[in-house]
Amino acid sequence: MKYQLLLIEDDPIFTFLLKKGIQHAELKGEVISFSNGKPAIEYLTKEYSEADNYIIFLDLNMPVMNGWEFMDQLETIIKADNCMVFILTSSAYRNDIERLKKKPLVVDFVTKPITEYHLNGIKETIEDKFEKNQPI
Amino acid sequence: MCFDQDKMKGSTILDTNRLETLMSYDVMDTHPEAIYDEITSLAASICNTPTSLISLVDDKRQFFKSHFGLDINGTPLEDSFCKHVITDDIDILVVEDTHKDKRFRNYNLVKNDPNVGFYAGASLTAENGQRLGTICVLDYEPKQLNDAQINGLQTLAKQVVQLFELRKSKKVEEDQKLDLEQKGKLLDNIVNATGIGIWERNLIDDSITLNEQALNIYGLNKANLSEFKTDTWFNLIHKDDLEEVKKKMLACLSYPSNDCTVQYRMLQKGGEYKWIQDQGKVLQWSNDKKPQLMYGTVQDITDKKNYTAELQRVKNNQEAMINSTKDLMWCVDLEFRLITANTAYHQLVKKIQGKPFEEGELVFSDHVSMEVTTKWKGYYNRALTSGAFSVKQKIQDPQKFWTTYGLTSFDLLYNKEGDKIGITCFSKDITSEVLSQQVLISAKEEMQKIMDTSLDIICTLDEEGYFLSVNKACKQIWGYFPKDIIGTKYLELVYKEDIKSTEDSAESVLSGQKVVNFENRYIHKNRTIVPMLWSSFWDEKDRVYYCIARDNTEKKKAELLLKNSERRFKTLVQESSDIISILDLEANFTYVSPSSFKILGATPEDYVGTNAFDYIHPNDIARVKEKFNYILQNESVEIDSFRFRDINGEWKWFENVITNQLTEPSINGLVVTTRDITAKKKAEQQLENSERRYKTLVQEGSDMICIVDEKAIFSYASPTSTKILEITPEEFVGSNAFDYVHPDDYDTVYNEFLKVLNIPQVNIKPFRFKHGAGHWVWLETAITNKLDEPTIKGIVVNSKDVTTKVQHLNAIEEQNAQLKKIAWTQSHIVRAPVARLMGLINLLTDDKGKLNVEEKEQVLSFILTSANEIDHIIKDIVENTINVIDIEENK
Repeated sequence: MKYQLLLIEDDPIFTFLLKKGIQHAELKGEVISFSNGKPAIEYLTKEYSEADNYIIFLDLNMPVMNGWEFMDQLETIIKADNCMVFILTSSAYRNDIERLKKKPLVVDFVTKPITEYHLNGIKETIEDKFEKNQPI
Repeated sequence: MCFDQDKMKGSTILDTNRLETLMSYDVMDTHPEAIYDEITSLAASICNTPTSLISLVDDKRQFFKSHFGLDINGTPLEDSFCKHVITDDIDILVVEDTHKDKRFRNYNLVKNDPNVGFYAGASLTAENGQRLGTICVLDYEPKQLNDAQINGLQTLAKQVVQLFELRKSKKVEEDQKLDLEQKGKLLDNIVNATGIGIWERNLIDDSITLNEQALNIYGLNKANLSEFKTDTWFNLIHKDDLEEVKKKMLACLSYPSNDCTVQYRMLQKGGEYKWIQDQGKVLQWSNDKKPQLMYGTVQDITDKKNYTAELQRVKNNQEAMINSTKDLMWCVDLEFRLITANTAYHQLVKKIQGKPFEEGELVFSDHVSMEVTTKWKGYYNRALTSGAFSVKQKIQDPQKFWTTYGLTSFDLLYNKEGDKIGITCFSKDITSEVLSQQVLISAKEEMQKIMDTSLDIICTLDEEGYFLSVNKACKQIWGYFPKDIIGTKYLELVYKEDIKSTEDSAESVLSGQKVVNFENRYIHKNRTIVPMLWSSFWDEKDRVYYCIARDNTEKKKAELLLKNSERRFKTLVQESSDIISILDLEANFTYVSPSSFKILGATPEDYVGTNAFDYIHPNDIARVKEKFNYILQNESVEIDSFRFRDINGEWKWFENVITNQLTEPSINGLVVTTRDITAKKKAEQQLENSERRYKTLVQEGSDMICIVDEKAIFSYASPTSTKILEITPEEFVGSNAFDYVHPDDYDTVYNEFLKVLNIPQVNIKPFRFKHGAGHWVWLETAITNKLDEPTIKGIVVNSKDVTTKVQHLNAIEEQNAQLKKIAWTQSHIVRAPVARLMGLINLLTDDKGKLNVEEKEQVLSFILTSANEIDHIIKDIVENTINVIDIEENK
């Protein structure tokens, strides 16, 4: 089973930090980063395979295509069975992300900066979903 | 293994034939009996053992009918030696040493006390070959028996079985005896139940034997029965019956005779007679044909006799009744010949034709017209063909000018076999019934007419106050049709405030009081109130209220008018502020009404003889005098308000009307009606003052007061409008208020305005109103509905310019928005680089040697970038905040 980790974040420093974190937490899969929602959607439209599992780290405030617009499009091409979205927010102030909570694809919200502790939690969630209930 | 053997052989023990045989002797669990104990004692002595038993084995245990030398009367099956005789089907079992025998060495009786060491048992075999158990001997030491001993034991066994057989046959005998006794008792019971007495008469020695019933029936005692001879019997028989009894008796005693029966009355001890039926027969004759023994039964038939007599009596009574009635009853056969008729019928026929019909005669008379005969033939034929029917006849007697009505019923007459044999006829005069019915119908119609045309409501109510009936007047008075009301409760129509008094009144009616002229109010279907005037009465027999109600509206109105006019009159006379006085031509008082005291404080006597002009204010006197002089040329003169001095020297304002009554002999003077208008004058003064005050208020105030109609068109605007809006009241009047309202506020204001049409007052929040100079001003407004106020007939609009206040509020709101923006910036923009820094620092602290040199440099440059960013942001925030404060200060 193949894992793809998609990082959608316009801030290169956060992308750098996230990559490092993933490396340290030893999350499985190929890491691909995008500077906003648009290239990510283009990539998924072309390459999406039902056989793979997709873990998406999504920033909300981005130029060109922001997180909300991305989520709306993502729902049309991907299913909740093989996809998990973690929303990255720069503040603990959550009023603006209320409507994303109801989306089935969204698993959790993570307040920046993302730490190894966060990532270990995320790793467990991923394994719970994709490994534990999988018939061997 | 022995256990298994037992189990296999158990079938013999459990064989139902064996068990049934055992049970048939009925010996299990019976008490010890001497005879069996003698046998066991004999067995023990023959075999020289301390113990001997008679043991009977059923499906669970062995029972010792006799136990010599052992103090138990049985054991469970598993401890039984004897069962082996049955299971092995042998006549004798000898166990010389039980301890050596594997079948028995583990037995309780062997192992434990009494430690049986020896056993010998002979089978008790029934006649049908079934083995019941044994007679056995036991010893505590091993031992041996010789043949004689064994034979002896077997003989005793046969003896025991024979005893059992004997016992059994004895039991059967006892059962049979019991059965016979029961059957005998049953027969007795049957005889007793029938109540038939039995007697036996010995004719040789003239004696009689009676059973219990016979004794009871004759009323005799068993003790002195020997003295009861045939003559004694004859003496007790009723003299009317005696001959018959003797005759029957004689016939019965003459050879050869059959059995004979006789009924007679027999005198009882109490003096009354009892009806008795004897039935007897000679059972035994002597050789010379003389009767020797009679046998028979006796029955008490008093009830039966009485019943027959009663039947006869009833029949006689019926006949008497039939003959005494005035109704006609007769019946004819299939050819219309008279079978029988009652007296009334015979009398009628006799009246018509001089003599009654004979039985068997045709029931048609030559004395009536052919028409009548044909009619009756028709009735009879109809009855024959179609069965029972009734006809009503109207009979007019032209001579007597009288009409009678008859009802004749026809029915078929059958004999016992059910064959039709004739017609029964019954005719009665129903004139009075018909007449009363007619009266009733016309009365009812009349009543209905009265009810329908009545303008008053006529109704009936049941006990609980539900309308049972009501006439059409209710439509006119209450607006409901009768069908709407019937079945509803009257209280539903009563005006709320009158319910209590109405219920009280209904209660007093129910207690038997007749209530008239009770007044209450009802609610018309159109919700108006209708005053009602009631008369009601409760009929205890029909259990209904009968009520008549009248629409009391007109009367009430009249009453009200009367009340008003009465009050007016009262006011006029008692409270009048008028003084009536009579003056002569020089204006001297000749009469003054008593009201002078109330108004002026002086009595009429004080004024009579004085001159009226002496009391008048100097400033007014010239004018009054001039008017006064007009009276000589006019019939009446009015004098406008002038001042008149009262007893305290204060001035009262008066108005006078003077009429010339000089020519009227009863008066001969000038009649002056004086009205005190001081109060009015004062009020006028006050009004003037308040008007002035109001004008000042309205003209000088900062509020603008307008009046608009329902369509918001100005009918008035206070002069302050010019000051506040630079629009003159003249410009406002006729224009629509909404033309001045800001388009953005239009809907809100319009909705508020609509509200005031239903509620007294509405406060409208500040809205923008066009100023005469073209800009907008904020008005805070209260509008009050005074459409019903006759002096206003409009909506009063009270507005205040609150522009400044609103501007202040807006400024505060703007500032709040700015502050919110700052807060947002802080949380979003500031937090981003801080979060970055925290992440980077985290990376460095947690490095664990995973970053290479290049990466470390990159991290450092990231830290620098983020720090710079924070610096910029903080500068921006400070600038923003200052701007906000500036805005605030400029306002």
